[in-house]
Amino acid sequence: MNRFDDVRQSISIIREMHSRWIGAIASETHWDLMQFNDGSGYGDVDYFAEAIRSSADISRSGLYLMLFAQFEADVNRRCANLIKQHKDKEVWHERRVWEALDEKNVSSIPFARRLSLLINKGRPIYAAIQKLYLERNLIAHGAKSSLDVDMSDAIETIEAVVAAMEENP
Amino acid sequence: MRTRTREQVLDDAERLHLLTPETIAALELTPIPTEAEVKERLADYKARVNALFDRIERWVVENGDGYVARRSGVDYLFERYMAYWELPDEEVPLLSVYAPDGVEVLRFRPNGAWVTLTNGRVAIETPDTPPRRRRDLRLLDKSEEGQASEWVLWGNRDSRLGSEPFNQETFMRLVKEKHESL
Repeated sequence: MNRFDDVRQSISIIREMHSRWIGAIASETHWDLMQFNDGSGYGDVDYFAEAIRSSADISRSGLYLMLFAQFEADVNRRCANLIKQHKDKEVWHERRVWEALDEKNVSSIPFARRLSLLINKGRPIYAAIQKLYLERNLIAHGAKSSLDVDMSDAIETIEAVVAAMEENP
Repeated sequence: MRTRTREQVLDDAERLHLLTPETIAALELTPIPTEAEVKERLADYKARVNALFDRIERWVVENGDGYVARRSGVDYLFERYMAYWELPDEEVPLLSVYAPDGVEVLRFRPNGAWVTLTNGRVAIETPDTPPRRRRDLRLLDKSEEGQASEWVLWGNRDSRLGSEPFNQETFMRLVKEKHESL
């Protein structure tokens, strides 16, 4: 079984990576390097330390993209299932709206609309996840390289959305 | 605590300059705030931070265990939207909590006016916090925009510890915990 089939499992893997790997190792290496900088001006220690610090920044952004990709894949799966389920209805009146949607190409539907099929638009988490989506776009399209989201906070929000989607299958 | 260098902030601002309103719309990106919005946000953030610090000072007095809290200096904020509009660094206050024996236990350092899904972030350091742990303890203002602040305390970088509301009880517990561990 592909471990990424279960969105909850992949979120927990990402959380583990964030806390143990990105948060710890990257900045720890940076800290250790700073210890070598005796101020004598020899070598490129500062430069090297800076490079590692930026790489921690980039790793954090990369992990955020990974988190969102897993979440989005789950949204797509649920959307496709929902559309298929409604299109299979026998009475035309019940399926006519759904026939306008293509379950084989759900990613062509704007993200906000996909999400609105799965959770109540009026809920605060609907607005929250859209803000996270805009953040994801800024990074994914190269408009910036560092993350302006608190990773733990983002994970908590995404888990709340997953729970909300599970409530209304 | 500035986790990003000035060059990195300026680099991000430069990338933002490359975006046109059309690309922003087409790629579903966050619209760039106007200069007035940036200034408003900074003023709002500083007001929230000052209100938080006033409240902490009050809690310490009310508790009466001999701890003292007071503004202990300033730091300077410089974020990408400020760089985008070429605004100067913004001065923000620091707040320190001292134990009865005069030892500094905690230091609150405002370090983020633009953190998505929040109205700002304040890092909590102890004087011996090495740089690698400066991301650990933090307060996030989880209130809706324009509403009264709701500060939430995040335990450390291990997010499994979860978050808890930041009130007099959690604050005093944190102070005593940190004091004992010093």
